[in-house]
Amino acid sequence: MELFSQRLVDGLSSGCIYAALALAIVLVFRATGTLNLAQGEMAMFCCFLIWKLTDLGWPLIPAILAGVVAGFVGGAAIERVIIRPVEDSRDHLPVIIVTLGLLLALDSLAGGLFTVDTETLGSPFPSGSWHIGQVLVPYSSIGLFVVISALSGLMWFTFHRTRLGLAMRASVDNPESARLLGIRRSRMLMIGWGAAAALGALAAALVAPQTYVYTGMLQGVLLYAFTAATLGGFDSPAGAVVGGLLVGVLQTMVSGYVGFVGNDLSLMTALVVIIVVLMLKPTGLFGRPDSRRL
Amino acid sequence: MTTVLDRDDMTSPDVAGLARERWRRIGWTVTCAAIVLGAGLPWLISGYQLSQVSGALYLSLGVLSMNLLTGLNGQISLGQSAFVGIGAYAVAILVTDHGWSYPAAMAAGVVLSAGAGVIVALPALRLRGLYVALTTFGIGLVFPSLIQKFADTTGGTAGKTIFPLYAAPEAFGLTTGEWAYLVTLVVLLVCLLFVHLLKASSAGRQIQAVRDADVVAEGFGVPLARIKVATFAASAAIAGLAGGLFAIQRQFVSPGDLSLDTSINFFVGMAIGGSVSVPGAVVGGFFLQYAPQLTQHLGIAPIYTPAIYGGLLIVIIRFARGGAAGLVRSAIEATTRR
Repeated sequence: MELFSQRLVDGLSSGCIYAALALAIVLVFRATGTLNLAQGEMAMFCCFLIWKLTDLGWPLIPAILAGVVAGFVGGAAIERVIIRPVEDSRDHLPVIIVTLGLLLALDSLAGGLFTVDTETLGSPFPSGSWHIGQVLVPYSSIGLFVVISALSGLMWFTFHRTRLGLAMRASVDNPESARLLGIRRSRMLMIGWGAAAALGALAAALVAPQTYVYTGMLQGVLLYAFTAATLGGFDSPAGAVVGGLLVGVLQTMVSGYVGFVGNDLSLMTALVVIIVVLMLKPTGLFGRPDSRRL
Repeated sequence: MTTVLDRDDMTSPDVAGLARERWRRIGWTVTCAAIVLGAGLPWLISGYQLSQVSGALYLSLGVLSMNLLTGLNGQISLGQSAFVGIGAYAVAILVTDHGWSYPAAMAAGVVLSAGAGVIVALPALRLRGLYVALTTFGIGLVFPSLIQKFADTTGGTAGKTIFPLYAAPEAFGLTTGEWAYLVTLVVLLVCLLFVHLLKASSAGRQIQAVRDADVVAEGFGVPLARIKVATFAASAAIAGLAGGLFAIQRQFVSPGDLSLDTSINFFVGMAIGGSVSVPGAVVGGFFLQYAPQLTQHLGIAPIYTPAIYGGLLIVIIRFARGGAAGLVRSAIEATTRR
């Protein structure tokens, strides 16, 4: 029972990370209606920036804040300069291909500009754990959970209770009518990409103490985040969080209790979840059904 | 689509038609010359150079599998490396451990890849192309870990050497490298011809209609699901075949050559050559083989090669969707119009 509880806690804390990146994916999906395959790489790049700043002697928290701001600016700039010229609300293929190009470029630039070595980054949360019976709950996991919950709450509030959020939803659901109402779709896209990149940067900084900082640090995490977003529903921030936690727990449990899977095949678990969700409930737990128009 | 209008105000259709016919003839002449040159290559260049051309031909076949799926059908696959891997490991395992002949093992690899393709395509069918990108991204990422998991049979990260060597029939008096090259050339040519003929067939038109306007195509009675799954399976089969060729060329397979990066490289090759062009696949394959050497020659650190690929991908999508083939086509159209 203790082992089970411990695994539950471990699963939830990795789930928080998946949730954070899944939130970024959902944000881009809601803002632009497409997938950003470079989401993990953008976050990794920001994480290297944060590491570089601490390396130059900055304290951790200001470095993370600077990285998050850089993420917002960089994300918005990428949307404006690289994504927008190929953006087409009917055909998502060009944008996905361009994000693939971004993935390649950022991966290689991070290695070239920073380092190809593995670096360490400290945690902004106190070390140590809270003991509940035999179960250890690391303070970092609690901190992570609080931050992620607050962010998803903020995102939900923005989308559903503010004019900005309404405008963003409108410009995805019905771009032409939204434009007629004077909503500047282009600005919405830029904000969406910027916010997603900022979120990704934060997620990367928070996960870095465990994964270390290297160019491939988020490759696996990105797949779990995609799984989380699929499970929760691609257009639902709450779904991303619930999906992230579920995927985290599932991954830890399957790896822990199914000997054959172990740690080697835990990515496979994610893939199986994606396929099962797409077959049984393609909209995910909280997503809305997708409609097609001529 | 634009040619009908353009032609009318420029010149009479006859002249343009004649010019186009002449270009078509030039195209076929170049193709035939390339085939003759290709067949004679083992006697013209060194063994090392030949092995590089072999590599380019294998890559061309991989790119062709993307042309079929993404270029013609509009589905994105980021898991092509896994299908190549299935073909390559089928040869490695069946030949080395089970004593199969090379052709039989390659055929088995093609069947297995196509089967895997069907399994992957089915769940993503009910949804938009986005989800195919997603599942195949997962497959590309997972494949190397599967190889590691079954290290007893696959050799794990260290790779697996294939034994016995793929020997040429004795009457030919060729080395393994030369024989592997010629086999690769013939297989590639057959596949190029297949896709070329498919493009103009009624099935090919259905495949392209699904890409251009799936809802309309469905309204006209195109069996959307069947076309998508069949195209995916055919593309996976070609990728599996490419994997088999990779195995006979190298006589060695390892997961490092079959990572997600390989899939992305095929994607870049497709974009460079032109996603809907059959000869473009060959251009893409040669690009992937020789570009890393070229950039190194220009004094760019190898670590930046992927950045150049990524940048090219972005630039092509923005300015030259048709890739190299598209540029050639517009150049020809510009001359025929005069």
